[in-house]
Amino acid sequence: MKEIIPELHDIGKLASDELKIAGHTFDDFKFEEKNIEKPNSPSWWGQYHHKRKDKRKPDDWETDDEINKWKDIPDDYKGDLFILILSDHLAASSSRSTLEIGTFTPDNTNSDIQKVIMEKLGIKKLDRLRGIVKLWNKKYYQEEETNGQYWAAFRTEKDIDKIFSEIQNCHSGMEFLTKYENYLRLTPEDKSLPRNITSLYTHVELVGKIFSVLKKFTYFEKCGEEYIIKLNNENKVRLISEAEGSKRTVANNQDDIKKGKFQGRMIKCHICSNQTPVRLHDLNIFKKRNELINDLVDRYRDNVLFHTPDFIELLLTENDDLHEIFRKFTEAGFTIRCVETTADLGILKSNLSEKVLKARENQDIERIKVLNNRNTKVKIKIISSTPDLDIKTGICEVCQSNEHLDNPWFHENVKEWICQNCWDIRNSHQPFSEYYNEWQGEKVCWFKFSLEQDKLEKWLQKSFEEYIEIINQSYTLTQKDTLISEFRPLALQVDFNNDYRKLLDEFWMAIEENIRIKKPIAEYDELGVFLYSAELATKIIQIYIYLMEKYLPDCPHDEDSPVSLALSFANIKYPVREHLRFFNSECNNFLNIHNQNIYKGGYSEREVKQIMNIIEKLKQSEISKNSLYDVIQSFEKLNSEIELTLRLKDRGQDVYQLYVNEGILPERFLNLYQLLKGGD
Amino acid sequence: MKFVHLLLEIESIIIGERFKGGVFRPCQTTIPSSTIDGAFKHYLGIEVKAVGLFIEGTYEIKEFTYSIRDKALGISKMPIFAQYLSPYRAENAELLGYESYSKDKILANIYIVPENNGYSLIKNLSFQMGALKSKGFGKCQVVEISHEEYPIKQGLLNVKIHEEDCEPFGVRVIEPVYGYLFKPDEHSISGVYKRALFPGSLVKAPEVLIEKETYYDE
Repeated sequence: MKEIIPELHDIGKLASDELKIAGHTFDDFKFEEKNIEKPNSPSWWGQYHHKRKDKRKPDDWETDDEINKWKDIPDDYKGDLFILILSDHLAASSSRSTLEIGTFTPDNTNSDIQKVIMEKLGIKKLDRLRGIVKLWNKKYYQEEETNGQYWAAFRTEKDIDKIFSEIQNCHSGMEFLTKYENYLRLTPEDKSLPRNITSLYTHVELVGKIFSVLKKFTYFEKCGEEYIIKLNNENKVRLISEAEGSKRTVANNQDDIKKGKFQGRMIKCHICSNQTPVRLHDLNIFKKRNELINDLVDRYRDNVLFHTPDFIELLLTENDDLHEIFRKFTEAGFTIRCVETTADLGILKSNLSEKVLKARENQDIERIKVLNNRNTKVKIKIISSTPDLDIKTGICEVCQSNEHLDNPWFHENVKEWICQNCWDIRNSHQPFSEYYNEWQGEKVCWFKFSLEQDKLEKWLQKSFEEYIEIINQSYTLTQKDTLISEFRPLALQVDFNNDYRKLLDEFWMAIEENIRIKKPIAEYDELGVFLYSAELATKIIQIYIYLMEKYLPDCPHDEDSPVSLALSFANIKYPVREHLRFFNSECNNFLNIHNQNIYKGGYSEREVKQIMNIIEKLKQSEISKNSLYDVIQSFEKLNSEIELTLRLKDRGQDVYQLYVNEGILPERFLNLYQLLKGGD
Repeated sequence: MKFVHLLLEIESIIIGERFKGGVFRPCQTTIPSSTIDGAFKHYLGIEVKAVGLFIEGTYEIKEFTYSIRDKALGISKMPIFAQYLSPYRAENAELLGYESYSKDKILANIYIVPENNGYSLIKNLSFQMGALKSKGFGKCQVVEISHEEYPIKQGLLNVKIHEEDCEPFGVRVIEPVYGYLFKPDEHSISGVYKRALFPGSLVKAPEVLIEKETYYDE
């Protein structure tokens, strides 16, 4: 039997205004008038997910009614529509602010307001406000449209047949997502302000996943003359609102504390490793991690809301076993640090954990009371194998978590005592041979891209507040504070991660032909190494800046940047582990530099550009490094800014201007200058 | 929970992890209970239950290269690279209350479970702790002693502590991150690695042993 395809429920959002459809669903579409055949596939019933009562018809129904009153829906599909509505609500509420400010339509005569907003966002054509506004790349849609792309997949009245043909004939959610990906990514989930910041692609994908998760644990049953929905054979419901509970975490009235009967678990999982790579072979840990994540995503495709190389966000129901899900990870020596939020579906949002913890910290009694009444829990769970009480012989030198094997790893007259796990990882893959052979004795540079999810969440919140401020200058926002506090970053994180992956792909494509730049683990795009030359170091930084401006131009390019690049320069003998330690602990800026035994520091994009400009300007000449050393040493001794300024003024206008105008200390200038200029 | 609190000034120190790659010896940035216990046993002949924390912003990690000499053969073996903590004052370090102490020293807090009352006698005591003492590392001086009471709060552990010592330290485990710490035998000739709680474990503990207070469900 053909199944309902939940991803099709919002297909109407891909229809342009020329089609003159009221809303985006087709439950009251006049098929006979238009002489169009009404679809009869299971997916058709998804069009009723926003069904409202026609007040002119006394016996009409709406989805807020109990399921037995849904008279237009065949009994076989009532259960699926019920789960689809729950999934749509959960996907929307977990992914952005649900309050609406103003609906944009091209017919809206009050276009002065929209013009002000467009001006602030740098959008030039009124119709372009119909496309997605990415907070990190606000002109994205405008540029795509200039390149010939357009958000609407169905543009003329003739295309309306195509919509119903898709509803009738589409075979799977994946088929729909693939076929319409370009349109779905250019179309916002909701075109009203300020909801127009998340893509329809991510929303539709989330709905599909959540639907599959809920469907496994819900049962549609006839109980006497009536139908009911059961979750885990326990809680019986007939109404959407019974399943979800109220949508609020503060109580204005008794309805607000109404507990839901269906609960879900949203879990943020950070994947950590005890193995600290010592040799090049140990980098196989990243390959192993990648394999395990791919395997988990295959096995729990619907539960994984999104993932990065070291982070997974899961949606689980009450009975799913987290230890079993991560069993293969713990067997391989990984530890998973989870923050698990359990709540009624009505309030389960991607940032509920922060809200709960903040309420407890601030002793917000009213909110805590509602959350407790609704059995809301936020827990830390650390998933790892339980080690023995003691180790009598010896401990593994790499992970320090297991007993080492009886025989040591023996290489170049050096013995290493390691455990079976670390041995297997070391032997699983041969790293590139140039590192040991042709590059011996040379200076190398390891580099790593990073995307910090916690920093991203914070920046998205801040950026959303700024977006609200822009709109607030034109509209009067009575719910401004609520809008800000109700913001949820999940869908935006998914969209941002998608752009970050594109950035990494393009980076490696741009340097593919350079044999002196290597990706040690083919499956891991964030890590690379190259045989040092000033030209290559400059090239890598230039490509990074270009790609950041292409994909994430409105993201901060300084210490608030969620994306960063770190470069660690050292002789090839310097332990790989120490490069990684630098990447993991001391990289808080747009560009981070470590030059072994010489310097560690971070730079904003602006600072890097200023320094690179000077290098370019002085291409044929040299700055006197010795005189700069003198200045630096004297500043270290005297700590006098006046003396520093006077001395710099005597020694060259460029470095002086950098310090006076940009606050770049000569030490920071000199260290990046030397690496990018080359020479002694 | 009552602890005896010692403030130490330290010149440079190595508290090593296991050897890495046979020639590289990284160092830790916490002071495990076994290290302090070993030092007190050696200098004062007493066993203590104690943990320690280097104060953030008062140190940086540097490298020291040395070679073990085989006296019988009269040759030096392969060089070993050891990391050590060196005194340093970070530009943005918030060191409120520590301004009066020497900027040329690392500062560390030690918390001892009080089993006798004689700790006030060790003010100004100098001793050595950690590895490579023969090369001059690990010189410590006790510059302050006080008896303090610390409230119990939930948070992420910031020290390494033997599992069996949790009770005396007032630590209750909610979600553990396990590792191992070496426990020497009574003759300090050999010993075993005992399971220990590592930083990042969710615990209820005296506030000085956690990063910051948290509000998770148990």
